[in-house]
Amino acid sequence: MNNPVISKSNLFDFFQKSDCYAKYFFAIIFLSLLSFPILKAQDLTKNSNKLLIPSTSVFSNSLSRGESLAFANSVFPDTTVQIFKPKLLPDKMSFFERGLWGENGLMRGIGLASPLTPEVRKYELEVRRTMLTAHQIGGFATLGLMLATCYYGQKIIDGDFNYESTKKKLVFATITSYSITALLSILSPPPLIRRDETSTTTIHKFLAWFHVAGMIVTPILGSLINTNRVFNIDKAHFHQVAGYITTAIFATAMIVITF
Amino acid sequence: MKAKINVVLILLFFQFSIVLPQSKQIEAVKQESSITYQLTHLLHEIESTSKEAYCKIDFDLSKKEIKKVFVQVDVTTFNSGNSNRDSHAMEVIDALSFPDSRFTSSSITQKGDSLKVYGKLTFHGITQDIVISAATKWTNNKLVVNGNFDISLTAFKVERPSLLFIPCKDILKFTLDQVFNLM
Repeated sequence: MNNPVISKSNLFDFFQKSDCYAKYFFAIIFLSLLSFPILKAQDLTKNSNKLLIPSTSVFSNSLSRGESLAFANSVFPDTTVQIFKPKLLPDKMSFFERGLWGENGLMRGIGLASPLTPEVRKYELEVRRTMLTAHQIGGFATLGLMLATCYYGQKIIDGDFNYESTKKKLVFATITSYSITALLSILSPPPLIRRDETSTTTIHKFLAWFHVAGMIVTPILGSLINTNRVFNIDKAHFHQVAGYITTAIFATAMIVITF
Repeated sequence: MKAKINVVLILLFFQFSIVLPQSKQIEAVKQESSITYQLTHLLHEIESTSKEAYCKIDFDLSKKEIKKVFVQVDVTTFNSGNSNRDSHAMEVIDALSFPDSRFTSSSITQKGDSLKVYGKLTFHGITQDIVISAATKWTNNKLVVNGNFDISLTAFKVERPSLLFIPCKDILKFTLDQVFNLM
């Protein structure tokens, strides 16, 4: 009677029972789209002189870029001061990043970002920083919501069914917050440097595959708990364990970035 | 006749003393040299190294003294072992506008193996006077110079990078290890 297999009717019930999922899904897409207008490239060339040649009045003993080069040449007249031109895009870019932010990427193709120039790239890096800062805030908010969901979920499993509505709201809030947080990282412009290496960021990204899987599996398992409007404790335990594991992996992914 | 020869010899001596170089410009061996900066954050300390710096000295062969120093480094070559962190560092120092950092000495005082190199450091498009404390070491026709200096990020108009909304310390500690082949 308690069939653990996800049948077609179970999935149908899942989507029918929670028509709010659709609302939240569209809300996520809408919020993600809202972040795009800020990516619309601006004409930054007006400020280029100010950026390239800083004011000498700020520091009494500071020199302009030109004066500094002249000083170097006066000390070592036969030394050519090299002029470096940094690469605008990293050598290593994922297929998705290249498709979105590459020189001929989708963002430039549809006009949300301007053709690649140092000024435009500088602006994109600012956008990246803003998106990653929001990603950090989103991470903390999502972890808080996950823990609250676990707490109220545990209360329900312990027999206090008065928290069902609160838990449901928290689940929707967690999914929304999680999705926005993930999109802020996935859609951000690429960094300036990327090398082949194993770092805390690599581990952070590797763990993301597991908490993404957990975030898909846990709500599905949750939707299967009530069979014919009867609470099934065995199925609830599967959902409970999946929830705890996902929260633990998510927290680990956050902690690892601090090392 | 003998007096004439003496005059010619004296003139030749003066000629050579002018023509023969008293000092030599030597470039550091890149493979053996490095520049490292250390950044301190509440959660950890970060060390990032570049082995791509171009360092040149004007060296007095007779006195075995460094007369001038010039160092230039492509800031994107610093590697802390985490490219995401290095990329963030490049953002805060605006590497696209200011891709290099350089130091040109204005005067040097030497006491034995200890050096004080005074000069101008250009970083993040700002030039400031700094002093590098260094020590020289001689090994197998090689001159090894180990130096260090500190800079304030805010003095160079660099916004302090943050991790988990906690900014790092304002002081950036630099260590230079430069090896010169005197042969």
